[in-house]
Amino acid sequence: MSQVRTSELARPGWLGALRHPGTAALYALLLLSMGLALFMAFIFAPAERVQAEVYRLLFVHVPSAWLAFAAFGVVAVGSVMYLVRGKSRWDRLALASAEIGVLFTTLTLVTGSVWGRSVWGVWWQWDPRLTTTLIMWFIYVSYLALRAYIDDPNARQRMASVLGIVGVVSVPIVWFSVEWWRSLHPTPSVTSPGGGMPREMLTTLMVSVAAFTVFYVVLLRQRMQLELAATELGSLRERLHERNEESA
Amino acid sequence: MQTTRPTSPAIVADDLHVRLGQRNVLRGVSLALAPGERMAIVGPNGAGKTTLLRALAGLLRPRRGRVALRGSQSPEDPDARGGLGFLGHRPPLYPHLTARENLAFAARLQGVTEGAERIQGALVTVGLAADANRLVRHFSRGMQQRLGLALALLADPDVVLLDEPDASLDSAGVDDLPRMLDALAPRAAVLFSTHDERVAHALGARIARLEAGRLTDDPRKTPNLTPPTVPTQVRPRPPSFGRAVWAMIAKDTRVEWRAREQVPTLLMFTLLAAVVFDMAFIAALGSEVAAVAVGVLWISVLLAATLAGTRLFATEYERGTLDGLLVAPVDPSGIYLAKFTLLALETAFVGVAQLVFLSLLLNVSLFQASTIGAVVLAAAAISAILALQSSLVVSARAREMLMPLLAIPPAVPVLLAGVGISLGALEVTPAGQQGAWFGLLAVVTVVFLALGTVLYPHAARS
Repeated sequence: MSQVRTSELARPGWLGALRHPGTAALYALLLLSMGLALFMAFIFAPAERVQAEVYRLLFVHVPSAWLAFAAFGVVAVGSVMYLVRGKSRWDRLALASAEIGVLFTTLTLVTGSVWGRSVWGVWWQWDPRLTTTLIMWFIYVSYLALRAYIDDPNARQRMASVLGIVGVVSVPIVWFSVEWWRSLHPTPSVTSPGGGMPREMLTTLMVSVAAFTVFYVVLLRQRMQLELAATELGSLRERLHERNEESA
Repeated sequence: MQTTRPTSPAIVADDLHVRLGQRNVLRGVSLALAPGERMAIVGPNGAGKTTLLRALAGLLRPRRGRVALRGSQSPEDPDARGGLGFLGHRPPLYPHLTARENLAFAARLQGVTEGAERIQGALVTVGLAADANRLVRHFSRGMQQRLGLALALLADPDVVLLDEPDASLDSAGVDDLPRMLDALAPRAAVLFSTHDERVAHALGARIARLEAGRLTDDPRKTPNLTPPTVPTQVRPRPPSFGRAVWAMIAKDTRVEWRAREQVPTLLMFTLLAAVVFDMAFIAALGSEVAAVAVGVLWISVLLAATLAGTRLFATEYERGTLDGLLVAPVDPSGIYLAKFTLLALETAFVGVAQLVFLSLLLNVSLFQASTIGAVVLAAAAISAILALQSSLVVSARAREMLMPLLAIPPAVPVLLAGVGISLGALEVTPAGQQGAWFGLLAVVTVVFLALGTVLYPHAARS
């Protein structure tokens, strides 16, 4: 029987993955950056003049939104590369990134809604930024649904890649929605010059973004390895089946 | 016109590996056929015969290995498919067209000049001359198989791939197979699968055995390089892209005219939607009647288009005719454009009809130039989105459930633009933004048409 590459997750022991020095370093970086981001969000950053404490949701809301955009960009890159190169690892990248993107978009919508309840007095506004974000969420949920409903892996990967490319059209629409339409949503206060955010808040936000980026990379890596393990398991099952057939 | 050419192999498979699902169906198949040579693939059920033929026709992408037609051409190259005759396990026939019309459509896609003459000759050869003008839906399975053979051999191909050509034929038909091949494709290299070795012998074919995805004998599969040169006819030039798309649109329109499967159902659906939505919003009909009418119009148009879009590629897929389109010497993006056009026409027709229904039911003057224009442009935008999404769900489970989830979110801008234009026309909102809304519809149409044209060929060969 030829050697089968075994994914990292397939190693014995629930902490098996941490035996890899790169993985251990990444987890350490995640703990450190998340700890620092939490400290800065709750203690270092001052209360806001009008909104008081509720504005601190910003330190989860903004990084998760940005990382969701990045994640969907990665979906498109993985999809294009899969269609060009035909290698499954690009599809695994797209799948993993889409799942994390949906998770981060959900987080964005939930934190935004809680903030809206406190500041606007309602859980939801039919505002361009909110509406386009919700539509983007639906598009990537449908991407995951399409994958779930196609049994043949080859067809699943190709169809999902096409949708992964089409879906990314929604990202600039969400990004620019506050500029294209009249919106209640706060306009960019970080990327626009003279946005007016105090230095402590801005520093905290940047640290949060960095921590979420590490979180994204960790999740992406783990999810890709999980998918590889699932594929390997399928191949092993098929080979076992073929061997049983041959011996019969 | 006759010419000669050197005997480079007509069909080559080199170390072909194909995986379907988790299963390795072909595991290193190599073979080669010289021009004019015939080879039969025999093997038990599940051996991979159909998969091999589909991979050779370019309908499946091998995981490893190479396919070459006529020396070096890949079957993914539309030009290479110009001289390819393919018959899968289901003949790619449109039940609501006659035998002659099915052949005429194939002739147009293959670029066959002197089509009428060639079609009549093919009908006579396969013994269907008397049934030429009958709808295929009234044909027996054996008659459909004969017609399928005529379709595959219509353009005097030099490479012919047949999946169990003797299937469903009566004994006279099986006996007739050599004569049909000799008459319609005398110069072709023919590779076919069969369970009956007598058929292989009758066709003068050498036999290759396929078991569990491997050829068990003749391992290097060198071609019998028969005569040094083989006379062959100059192949018909494939039709231009525009002609091919037009042929597909004309075929779809004729099929719909005969079958009346889509448009009448969609008309009833939109009327029903108008009635139930109006009843649901009856409390609001006093002051907000115009807003309700506009909302009902656009939601029902979107839902009707989604309903039709679900069937757009699925019907071709289920009939096996999608394979027929994909092996034609036409860029697959033409199939997307033809389906887009059909759906846009249907959606526009149903949308304009809904304008009339709602104007009558709610006594609102929706029938205005800007709203009609919006319906037509929105039909194009929605169809550009739906035609692509429809091609993605074609082999998905629960396709009908999945399609709205895929189709509606990207169509929301179209819905918003349609509502904006219609409300402006009714002066519910200021009419100044209508230009921007029309611009949005045009942008969505262009973006999705471009995406569909580029991406559909990738989705098609899954």
